[in-house]
Amino acid sequence: MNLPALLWAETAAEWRKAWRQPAFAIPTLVLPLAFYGLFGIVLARPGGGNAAYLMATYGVFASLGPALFAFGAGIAHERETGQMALKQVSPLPVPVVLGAKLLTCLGFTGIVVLALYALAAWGGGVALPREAWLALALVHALAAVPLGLLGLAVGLSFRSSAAMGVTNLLFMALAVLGGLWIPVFLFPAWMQAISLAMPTFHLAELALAGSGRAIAGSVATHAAAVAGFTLAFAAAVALAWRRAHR
Amino acid sequence: MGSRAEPPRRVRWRGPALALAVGAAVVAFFLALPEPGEERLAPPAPGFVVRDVRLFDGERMHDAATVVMRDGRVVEAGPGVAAPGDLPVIEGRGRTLMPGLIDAHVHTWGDALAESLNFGVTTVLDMFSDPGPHQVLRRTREALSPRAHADKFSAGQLATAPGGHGTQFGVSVDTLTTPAQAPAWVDARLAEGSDFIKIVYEPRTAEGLGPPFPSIDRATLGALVAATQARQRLAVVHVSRHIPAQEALEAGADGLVHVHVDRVADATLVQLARERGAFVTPALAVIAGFDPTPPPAGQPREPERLAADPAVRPFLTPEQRRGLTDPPRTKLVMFRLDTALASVRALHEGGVQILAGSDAPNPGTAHGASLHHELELLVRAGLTPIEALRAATSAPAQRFGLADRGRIAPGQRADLLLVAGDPSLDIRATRAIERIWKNGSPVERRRYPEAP
Repeated sequence: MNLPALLWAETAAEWRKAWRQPAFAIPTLVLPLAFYGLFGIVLARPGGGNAAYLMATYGVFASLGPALFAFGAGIAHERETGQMALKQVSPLPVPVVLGAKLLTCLGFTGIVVLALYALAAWGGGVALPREAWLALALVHALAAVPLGLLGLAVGLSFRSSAAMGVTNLLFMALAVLGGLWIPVFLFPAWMQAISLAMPTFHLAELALAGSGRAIAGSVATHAAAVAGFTLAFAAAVALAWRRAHR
Repeated sequence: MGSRAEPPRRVRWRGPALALAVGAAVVAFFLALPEPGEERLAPPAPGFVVRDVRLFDGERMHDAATVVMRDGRVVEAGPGVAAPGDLPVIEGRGRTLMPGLIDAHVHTWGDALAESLNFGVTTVLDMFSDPGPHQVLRRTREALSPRAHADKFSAGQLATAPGGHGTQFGVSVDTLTTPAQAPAWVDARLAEGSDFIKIVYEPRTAEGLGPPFPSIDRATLGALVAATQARQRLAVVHVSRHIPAQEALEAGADGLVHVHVDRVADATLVQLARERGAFVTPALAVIAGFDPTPPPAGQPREPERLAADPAVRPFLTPEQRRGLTDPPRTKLVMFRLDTALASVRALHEGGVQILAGSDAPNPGTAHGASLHHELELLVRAGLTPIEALRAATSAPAQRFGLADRGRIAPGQRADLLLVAGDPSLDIRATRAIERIWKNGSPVERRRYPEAP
């Protein structure tokens, strides 16, 4: 089998596995849509004008779930049950294993994000220029890369039970402090300071800018911050990978 | 591995075919997503008739009038109008039909526009808030489809110095310091969707007295007003003291959106405002909210009295009740309602146009409800009830160029309020709301139960 075929087969297997795990599929697929439906549409009083704003930030939230749970808790579980060791002794290159996971993660993110757009457009009355829809999709899809790397670092660093706890903690912190549920400008100053250290905050600002909103900082600064987080998480993954397989 | 069992021949065509199908579906999905202008808007309500009603048309009262509404607009109004047979009729005897109210000074976020409509305020003039939601709402503002919220015309961001008034609320503000920056600043606001320009002018005196925050200087104020008016927009100014108020009028401001509070308006100020044709939106409700003077023994504070009014209270959200009844946390010793009332009296008697605005949701105010309070305070300052009603309907519509609002006449948007009694006898009758229509469609008023 050549490499693309291997990657395809491995991705197909990962995809099937993910769908068969309700513990992964349900929170990652249903949670962002249910939350957006609740806070962006049902509980929102008319005239708030925030449906598009919330769609931009909830889109980052939508990519946070698959990234953290597929990689974070998922990989720790696979390491503990020996599935990872099995893959490592099989003649399967490591990049194919991780690449298949990333593709699966992107696939899940794609499904949730597109469902979110449909909900916002036809349920919340959001209308955006075509280029804004595309810019949003780009940010929401690419968000899976730094967040997936973060999940991977967690999954490689902790035992299964601890990884679940750490993942949940990170999930909450990145969602709340990143301003994905409540805009950061409503926070007290000390919380706003912490938000700056959240990759999700910078991703959300990029998404908002992509949707055509004026943001406080510059796009370049937030993009640089995201790039910095991506590099840092990649380094953490490399380190954790070496430690885990010594 | 499960994949190894599959023949490689199948993998070769299934993968690309699936990828192609998914790709095509995604492209089709993106092409189907709505763009601005493609918002789905419900058709306007078919119409109705209000018969035999006391009519305040935005200017004056008419007895025994009939008003016919169709497709979101008024088509006929006045005494002697016959009710067409095809529309439902509402008996208006003993009641007053008036234009939906316009609050000429608010700041909106969250549920503000729904809360405003709950008290018959169908249009608000926002004197500073996040321009983001406004950009969304203004796209469908002129449509006549049924709506459960008030419409908004907004300044968007305000003009202020770095660290100046307006920068303390967490909304990001593009500040400026020099006259040379003014034209580009105004252009940036208009590009953001601002309908008019709001300028904060709070300079210190020559002796260095004044507020503890910086302000733009007089030259920058002048440049902002000039740049705004050169672009055929209104320039309105926030002031809190007599001398800056005078300087703003001298700079050519179209209106002052507060009455100053440091002393009673003198003849010079009144004359200047009248000669320049400037309006004043005193926002007495917020001054009453901040006034630190303890009320006479056994009497509630002004905003507490509003919150206790049985015609108002059930329709206030729990947060609004708290906002009206909690004592203000900021001590603003300069804010005296008596002084402000005396200034409004002087301005009004001197022929200066007064607009009704509440400055909600500042401490002591609530969206919607506080405009009814403002009407009462304007009458206390010497306006007749009819003059007060004009200040909340036709006057702001005329000054802010809202062509189809603030009056009940053929062609006007059917934003309407049916109240029990006669507000020209007792202005507080505006609170006895029986029905509200927005764009000719009935509005279900929300009641909020008392906390146990």
